[in-house]
Amino acid sequence: MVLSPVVTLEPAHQVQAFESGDPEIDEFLQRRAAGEQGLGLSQVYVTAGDAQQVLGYFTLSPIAVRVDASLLERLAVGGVPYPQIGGFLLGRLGVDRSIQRRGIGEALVMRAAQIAKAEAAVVGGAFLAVDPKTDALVKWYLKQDFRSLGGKTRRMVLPLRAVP
Amino acid sequence: MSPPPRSIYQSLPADDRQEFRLPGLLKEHLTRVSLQLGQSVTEYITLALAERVTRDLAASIEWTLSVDEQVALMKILTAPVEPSERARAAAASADVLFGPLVPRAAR
Repeated sequence: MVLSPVVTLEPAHQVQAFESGDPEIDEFLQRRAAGEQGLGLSQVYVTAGDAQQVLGYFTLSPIAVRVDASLLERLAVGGVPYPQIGGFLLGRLGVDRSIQRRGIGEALVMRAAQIAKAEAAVVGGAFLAVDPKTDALVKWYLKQDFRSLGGKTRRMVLPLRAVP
Repeated sequence: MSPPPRSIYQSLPADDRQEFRLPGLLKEHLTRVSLQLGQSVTEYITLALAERVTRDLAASIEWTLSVDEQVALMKILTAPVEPSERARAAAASADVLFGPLVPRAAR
């Protein structure tokens, strides 16, 4: 199995045959990814096999979390000069059925984290966030070193300092 | 991330349809003002929608966390942390599968 470097989605990439098993993930890549990327809503990163056939992808976009300054003071982490903490959102992740169960998803998450860390070195950013759709995905992301924020949501973050 | 400028929407083909009901008075006023501006009703509505969507999209890239979630986030971000063995192994695997991280300009 030879996969291409992870690069942003280009018109030459073939997406129509992509099938992850999750119709929403497939439909996004096939119908909406290029448009969303064109509008600047997110960057779509892909790895491809033969003939530019996309076999895996993820999306990254900046995200901000508003924090309460008084809360930071109470936690003794005051002095944060901004009312928001910036990071990156790993919005979608998909691997084609033909190459599933080979660690490609884990590697794509790591590559996403490495890209986020590289971007953070330019524009700032402290974490990579995910908002898993299912409890099973929460467990999967926990194995990838993400930490749950608790509460009523499934939101999780990976500090970029934890990314090699 | 900057929200998409509304002009991008205007440059896209109108390739979909949306039907909705609205008060008759609003429809009447809509027709009147779009005529006054020399625009079709479609042009007028699309422009107004693009402005609203652009604004709301900008707001959607911010997570609003509960106090407990903010505390959890700050504890995670301020705790000492280094890449785990698992993370190092995943990075090595990514290098094998995809090659080294592509420089920003070439991505």
